[in-house]
Amino acid sequence: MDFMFLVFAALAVIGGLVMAFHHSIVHSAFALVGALFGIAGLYWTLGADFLGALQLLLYVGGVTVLLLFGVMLTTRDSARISTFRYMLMAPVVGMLAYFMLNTLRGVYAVVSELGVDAAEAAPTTERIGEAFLDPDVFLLPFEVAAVLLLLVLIGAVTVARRGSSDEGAA
Amino acid sequence: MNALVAFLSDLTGLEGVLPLSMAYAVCIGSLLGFITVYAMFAIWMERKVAAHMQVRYGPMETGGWHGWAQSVADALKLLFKEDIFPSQANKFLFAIAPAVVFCGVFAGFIVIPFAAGIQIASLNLGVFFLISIAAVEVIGVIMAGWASNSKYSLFGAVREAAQVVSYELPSATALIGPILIVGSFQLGDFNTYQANHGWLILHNPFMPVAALCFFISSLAGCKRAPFDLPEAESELVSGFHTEYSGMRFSFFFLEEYASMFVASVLMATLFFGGTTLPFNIGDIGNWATYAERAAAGEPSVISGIGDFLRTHLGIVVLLLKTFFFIFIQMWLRWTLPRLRVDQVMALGYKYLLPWGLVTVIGTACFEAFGWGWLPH
Repeated sequence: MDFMFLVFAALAVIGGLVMAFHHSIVHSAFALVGALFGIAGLYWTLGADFLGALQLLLYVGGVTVLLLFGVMLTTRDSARISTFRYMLMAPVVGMLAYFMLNTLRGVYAVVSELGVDAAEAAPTTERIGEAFLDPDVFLLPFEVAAVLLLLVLIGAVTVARRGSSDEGAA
Repeated sequence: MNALVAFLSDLTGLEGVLPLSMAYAVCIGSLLGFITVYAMFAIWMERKVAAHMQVRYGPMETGGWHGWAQSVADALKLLFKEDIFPSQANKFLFAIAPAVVFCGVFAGFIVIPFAAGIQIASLNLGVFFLISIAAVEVIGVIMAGWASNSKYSLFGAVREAAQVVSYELPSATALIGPILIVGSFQLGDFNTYQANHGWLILHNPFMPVAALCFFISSLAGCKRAPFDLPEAESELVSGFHTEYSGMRFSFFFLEEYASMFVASVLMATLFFGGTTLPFNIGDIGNWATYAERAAAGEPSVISGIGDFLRTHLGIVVLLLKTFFFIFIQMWLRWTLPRLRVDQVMALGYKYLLPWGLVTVIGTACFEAFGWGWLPH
């Protein structure tokens, strides 16, 4: 499993680097696919099978396809992005990543104290479902997120309709 | 998979990584062989079906009997063709796109339950894994279309992207109903459940609707007519794979027929009983009995032969059902005209998605109250 972890981690890191530094925006999008796939693989090697499949379905299948669709419709490959300006952001992002990793280390310490072995972890789907519908665990956040997503959906429809009402009224 | 590893380890006396990698090699090799042979047969079948729909004979000469070797000859021809790279194409993406496309479908095959014990990985995610890994294939198609640097290919890729966002949601929604009834993602569990409780298509009034929704959106997923917009040959030459030749082109062909197979197997397993016959005749392909007998220890010779026959007849039953659905896909290709892009989107969002949601809610209610046409 360690070998596969390294493969997926390398895919995620290299994909992320290519995405950040490549000049062509379409290449960046494809590299993003690679990075997201690598992260899905990391989830799998760590025993979070449901999360990995969800990552693949939503990010590789949904978000990046929409992204590529938008990029192909709006720009040619001649569209270049200057990466230099964003270099200035590097220290900020680095600090953020440092704090996030510190938090993660805390989470990891807790998880390892619980004695959960990633390779031996049972299928997660059932436990995720039970946690989402248990009032003591995640029921409220789950419902709030659902309502929020519904609002976003209705909002998107409203915005899209308003934009096209001039020509599409008939 | 684990059984295979144990068997190889016993056979060779090796431990650790070696039997595991040998088992991987055996699985991948047999799947590749299966997909190739199946694709050749399916291409021959498609030409025959198409010909007979149009009152022709189709290939009749190659190989003698009804042109059975036509696909073999085509494959040989493709092997020897020059591998052409367009000078303006993006070399790297152009080269890997066929592999990405094929890997997406190929990975789906590892969870297909051909029969009890004949399944490479009985993932707990089963169905969900199949739906999500198909995303990789879509990315490959878009990659191929964009990297070719041809306007026809690019149009094909953009159409594929537009089509994906309109069919992926309905197809996933239509599958929630069966998953609710069986209570598992694992594809093997669908066979067991349907052996004991009858086919899911008859389980409640919403299941036929769900099956129809899934079948229509899986047609779009395989880029089959009437949803063959990404490769519409009358408008876009051949869409996203216009610039491909030789083996790279044939990978797109393999992918198309392999994804037809996956969609048909899903249709057969989720709605039409999988490896079981109607009314569970002869207890063929019932996974529970196989598992129970295997768990009970050493079976006698006769029951061993019985189990062997059941297992293998289960494969035959599943393949017959699968080829029935593949035949319907071919039939539709020569029956329905191609839809426009906006019609595909309207179909996905205005008809299939709401009906899919109706089946989810309806099935949930029927399950909660224990209603339905079949015993629970």
